[in-house]
Amino acid sequence: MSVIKMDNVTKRYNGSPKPAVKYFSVMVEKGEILALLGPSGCGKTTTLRLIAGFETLDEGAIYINGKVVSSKDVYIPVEKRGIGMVFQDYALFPHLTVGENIIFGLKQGKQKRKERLQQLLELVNLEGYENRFPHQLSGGQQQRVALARALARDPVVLLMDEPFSNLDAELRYEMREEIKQIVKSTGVTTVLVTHDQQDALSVADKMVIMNQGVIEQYGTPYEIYHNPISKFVAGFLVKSNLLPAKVQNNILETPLGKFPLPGECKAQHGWLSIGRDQIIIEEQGKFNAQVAACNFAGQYTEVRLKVDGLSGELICYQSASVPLYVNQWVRFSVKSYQYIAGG
Amino acid sequence: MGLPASDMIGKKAAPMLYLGTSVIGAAMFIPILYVIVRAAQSGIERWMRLLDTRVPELLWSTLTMTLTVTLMAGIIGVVLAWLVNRTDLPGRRFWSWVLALPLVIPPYVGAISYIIIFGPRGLLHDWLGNPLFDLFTFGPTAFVLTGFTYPYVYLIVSAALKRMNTNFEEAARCCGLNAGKTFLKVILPALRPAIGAGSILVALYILSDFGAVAMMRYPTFTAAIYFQMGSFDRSGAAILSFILIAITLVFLWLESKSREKMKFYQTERNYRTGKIYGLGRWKWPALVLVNLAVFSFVVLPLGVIAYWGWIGIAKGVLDVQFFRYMWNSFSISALAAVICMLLSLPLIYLKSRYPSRLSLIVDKISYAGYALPGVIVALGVVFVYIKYIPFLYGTAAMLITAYILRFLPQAMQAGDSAMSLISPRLDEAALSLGKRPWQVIIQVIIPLVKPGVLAGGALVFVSSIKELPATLLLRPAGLDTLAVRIWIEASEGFYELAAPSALLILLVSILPLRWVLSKY
Repeated sequence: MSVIKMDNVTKRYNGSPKPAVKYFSVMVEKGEILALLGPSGCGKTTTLRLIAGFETLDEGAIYINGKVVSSKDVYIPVEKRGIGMVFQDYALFPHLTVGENIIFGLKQGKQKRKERLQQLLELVNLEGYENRFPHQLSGGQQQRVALARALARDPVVLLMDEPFSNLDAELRYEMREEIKQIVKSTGVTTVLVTHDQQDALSVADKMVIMNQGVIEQYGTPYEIYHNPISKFVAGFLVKSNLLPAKVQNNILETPLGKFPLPGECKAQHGWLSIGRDQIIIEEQGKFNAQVAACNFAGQYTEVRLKVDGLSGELICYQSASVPLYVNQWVRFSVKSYQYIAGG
Repeated sequence: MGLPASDMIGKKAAPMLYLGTSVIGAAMFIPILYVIVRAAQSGIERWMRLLDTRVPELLWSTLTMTLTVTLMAGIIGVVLAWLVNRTDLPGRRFWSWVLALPLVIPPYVGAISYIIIFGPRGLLHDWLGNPLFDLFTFGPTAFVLTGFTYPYVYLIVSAALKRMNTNFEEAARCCGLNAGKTFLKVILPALRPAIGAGSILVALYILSDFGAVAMMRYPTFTAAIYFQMGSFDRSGAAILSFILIAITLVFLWLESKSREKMKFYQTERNYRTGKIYGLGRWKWPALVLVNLAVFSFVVLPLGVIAYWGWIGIAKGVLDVQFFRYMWNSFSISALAAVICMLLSLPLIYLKSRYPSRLSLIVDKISYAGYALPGVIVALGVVFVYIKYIPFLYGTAAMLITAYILRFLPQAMQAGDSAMSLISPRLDEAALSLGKRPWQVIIQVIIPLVKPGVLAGGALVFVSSIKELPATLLLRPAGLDTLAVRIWIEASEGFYELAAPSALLILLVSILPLRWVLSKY
């Protein structure tokens, strides 16, 4: 049985014609980490707040451990849902020490609370920090305190709102791994919200890509990355090059030329999606292009290619050691591509 | 403050500016210093006699009143701020500004309106044959003072509630706390600095108030100093002042402490407005409370003063005499306001652009006058004029000096906030375009701070018109102002003569209301 079940959940805010979340259904299994990914304003934070109980829904129902917590007639208050939450700005109480923050919600006796505090400090690697105040900690430490506080009551569900957005690149990389490890060691079912593809891809077991209040695609990070089913997902998650395509006799006709149709034909019109790492600049390449720009990024170079007959530019990542020059003519080939059916 | 101190390394302000600032700072400080020196010179015998007799009694009455009013104003201020900002109280937008109105009613005018109704010769006495209760006792006095000071707490706590990070509340709910416990364990602690800051303003006001307590015939230090001066016992007045200054300093120290703490609580901006709680069955009690507060401290005083003012006007109070008082009030206050604006300019400029130990000290000293009771400022001014400028003793110059000492901080606060909005990069841009420093000040700084400085001047003007104790003590013989007339007529029970002046003061006070409210 799934720990969280959302069944056709719809949420409208007063004064806005479009629902923030529309007919949203998803199930999260025990111990799974689900990432809600999407651009800002896509409804992912609203979804998280609906699970927490900070918002009430207009249609549908939310179940935690099989019990209705939100529906048209039922509303279980936040504190009775068995959730823990890590806030984007951590929301550590500034008037309390690290230790007091962590055991803030515990109702056991003094001795029990002390033991639990030690366990939690150990879990998040902050032994010895219990008497500091939040403002004396670094960003990563604050985040671990917030995580320990959220886990203190052994929640059924852990919710995380943009957990990595306040950290710099280096720390972000470390914390992704660390948080995933901590969460997995406790076995708590987790839902996290992020707008960063890397966060979601590296931490989540399952992902929901959201756009304008609806689910665009659901699956494991690997599945979605390699098989985006909509133009939006291909553009947002894979950041692939998208060319309009028409199917004729099992051949894709695109501005770049004709390509054999992979798989079955689901619709006459659609998009040809070519990943940035699937365009290879090589002498024996099939296509001609002029280099429009080169952005050296260390391990690879981002190259923008101008192709005759194409309105936009193609973007590809090259690890080639041969330097390229702007306006230089090159040849390239397409290693693999996908066909995304529909507008 | 506009820029980090490191930006200022290697820059030096013009020596003239430093000199001017030092002179202003010293001038602000000397009168107070004189009070302290005179108190110290009074001799052990005088000290012992006062300490044995008056002082314990005054300490008790002053401190009990201060603490009682502070506590009550704190509770009322927090409850009202919560109701208006975070509950579904009907009409909360309307109440939110009406509840702040008592702040612009001078407490002595408020006290008069209560005396007119409940006083020994008041309306109730006329109708019922007895005034129901003795108004001139601890309880009613505390009630009246609370009613005209709670807005300090109410406004500061309201502002804190609006700024508060709602994530704290939500985090507490996630930790399993219900709404009530969340309030006690998270919201209240987060509001503590705001409550502290508001309460200390109330306490400082009560310590320095003269008009209301004197009208209510309640003995506090200020009243005692006033009467001591009235009987020309200046050493006695100086000793009592010394003790009151010491008490005030303790509260000022507490205030700076609470300010330090406040910083931690203003975490990141949060654009989500706080959750609005349903009052349920508490809706009616809450409405009754809000209505009671507005009736007692807005409708009743304004109504009583307007009614008696109208009677007075019908009886022909608005004669040549009245317009002379008005002219006296307005001209002296306007002069004080203009001088304050001029003096505040170099102070705020130096503080913002060349922060140094000197500018910091001058800043702190200038603010001291704010907290000091008018009677003490008056005493200091008397000492200084007798000793150094006797030819101006007994002229309106003394009055203007006292107004400047008391209200320069108001002009500075307004100027400071305007100045802090002007980026030092603007100065640098003007300098890079070939302007001399003095040209930068005239062509860039002054035009930009002008609105703030003018607002400060308006505040000084209004405060000077309302000022009572220093005016009573320092006015030249025969020079009566509106405030003085209110005091004299009301003390003798001629309310219809006092009311038109009070009405005019109320009208003038309401003018800068918008600015006063936005300050918190």
